[in-house]
Amino acid sequence: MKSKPHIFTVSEITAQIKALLTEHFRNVSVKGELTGVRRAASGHIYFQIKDGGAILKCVMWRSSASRLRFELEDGLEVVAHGKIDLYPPRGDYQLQANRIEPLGLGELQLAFEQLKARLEEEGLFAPERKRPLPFLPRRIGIVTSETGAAFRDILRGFERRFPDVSIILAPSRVQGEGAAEEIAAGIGALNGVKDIDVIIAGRGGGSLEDLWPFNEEAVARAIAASRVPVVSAVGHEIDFTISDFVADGRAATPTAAAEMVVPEFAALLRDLEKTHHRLSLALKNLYERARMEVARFAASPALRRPLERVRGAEQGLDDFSRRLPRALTLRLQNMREGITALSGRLDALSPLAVLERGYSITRKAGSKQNLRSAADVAPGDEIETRLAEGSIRSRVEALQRENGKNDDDKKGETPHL
Amino acid sequence: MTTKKAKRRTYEEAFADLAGIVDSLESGDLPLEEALRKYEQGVKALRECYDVLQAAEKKIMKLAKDAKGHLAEIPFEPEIEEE
Repeated sequence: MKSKPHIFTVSEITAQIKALLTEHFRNVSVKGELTGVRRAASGHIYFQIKDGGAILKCVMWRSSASRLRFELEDGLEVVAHGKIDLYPPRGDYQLQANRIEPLGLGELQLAFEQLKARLEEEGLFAPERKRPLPFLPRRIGIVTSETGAAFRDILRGFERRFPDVSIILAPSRVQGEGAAEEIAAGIGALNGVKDIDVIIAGRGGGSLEDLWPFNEEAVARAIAASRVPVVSAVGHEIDFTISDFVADGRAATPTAAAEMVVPEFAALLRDLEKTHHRLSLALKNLYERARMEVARFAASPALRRPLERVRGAEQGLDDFSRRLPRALTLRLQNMREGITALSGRLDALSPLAVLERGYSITRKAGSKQNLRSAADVAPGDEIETRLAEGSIRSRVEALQRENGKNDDDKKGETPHL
Repeated sequence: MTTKKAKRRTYEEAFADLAGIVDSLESGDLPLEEALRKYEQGVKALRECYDVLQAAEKKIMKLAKDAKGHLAEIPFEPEIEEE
C-alpha cells in the first residue's frame, strides 16, 4: 500500500515544528559566549550565544532585561536560562532568555566590576574630583535607615567627639529593591537644605547582597552630583563599594564616619586655650618691650622736654585703653598697653626733636636705613635728606672719607646726624 | 563694626587668622603700633572662635514629607524597633 505523502503548507509545518520545539525545550539552560549584543530602543536585548561549532539566536525581553544586574557584553561567557521559541514569519528559532548569569564570576561581582570600570573611565573616581571635608560643618546630613544600627553608631561617634552637632537625617531604606533610589533621593534632598556642609551616606555591615544599593549607579551618580561633600560609610572593613570610590571621603564604619566629619571638641578647645594663652603672653611681652623703650628714651639726653612727651603719650594710652574693651572682657592683664602706644610715638618723635636743632638725617632714596658712612653710597646714588621741615632729594657727586683724603676729587656732601 | 553681619568667618578661618597673628607677635619684629593693631585683631579672632564653640548646639532633625508631600524638617524621635 502506498500512501500519498502528506503535503504541508509552510504554516502547518512551521506550527508543528514550533509545537515540538516549545514542548521539548520549554526550560533549558545554555552556556556559551555572548556575541552581537544589541539593546533595542524598546528595552529588549537581542544577542547570540556561540561556541566553537554553533550559534544560537537569543532575545531577552524588557521585563527580564530590567532585572539584569550586570551588562551583557560581547565575549562574556554566560549561562542563559529560558525557552526555545520559533517565530513563524521569519522561520527563526531563538532562545527567549529570562535569566542570564555569568560563568565563573558571580553576577554581583561582575556587575560591580563592570560599573566600576565604566565610572572609572568616566573619571568619577579621579582624586581631583574629591572635595575636602569641612573642618567644622555647620550642619551634617545623614542618609541611612532611621531604625538601623548605623544611625545609632553615627550618633554615638558624635557623642564621643563633638557632642553639640546639628544633624539632619534623610531616612532611607538601605537594602533591597528601590533602596538605591531612596538613598540617591536622600542625598539630593539634603543638598537642598541650608547650611549642610557634609553628608554621610551609609549602613552597617552585611552581605554583598545587603550592601548592594551602595554599588548601584543611582547612588554613585547622586554622590557625584552632590554639591556638598559626601562621606561613604558602609560597614565593611575590607571590600570597597562603588560609593566608596565616588565619595569624597570613605569611612570603614558609620562610627568612623562621624569621627571623620567633626574635629575632636576637647582638642579644639585645648588648642584655642593654648593660643589664647600665647596671645596674652605676647601682649605682656609687648608691654615689656614698650616699657623698656620708653625707659631708654626717657634716659636719652637728646630729649629736651621729656615730660611733655610723656604726658602726650599717656593721653594716647588712655585712648588706646578705650579701644580695647573686648580685650578687657577677656581679662587679659596689663591693660597699660597704652604705654606701648606712647613708646611708639616717642620713637617717631625723638629724631624730630633733634632735627629741630638744625641736624638732618640722610637716607639712600627708598631705604629706611640712616646713612652713617660715606662708604654706604656711591657717586650717582639718589639720597634723601630729612630736615626739621621738609626734605631734600639730591644725587651724590663725590665721596670724601673721614680723614679728609679725597678719592679722586670726591667731595662729601651728605650731611650726617 | 559697620558690616558686622557681612559674612561670618568659619572657625577654621578665624583660628588660622588667630594663629598667624600670635606667630607674628611672637616673632617680635613688628613695630609696636603694628603689633598692637595685630593684637586687637587677635582678640577679635579669639572671640570669634569662642563664639562658634559656644554657639554649637545639639540638634537632631529628620526630613519628612508634610501633608502636601513637601519635604520638611521635623525633630527626630528615636524609635526602638531593632534590638
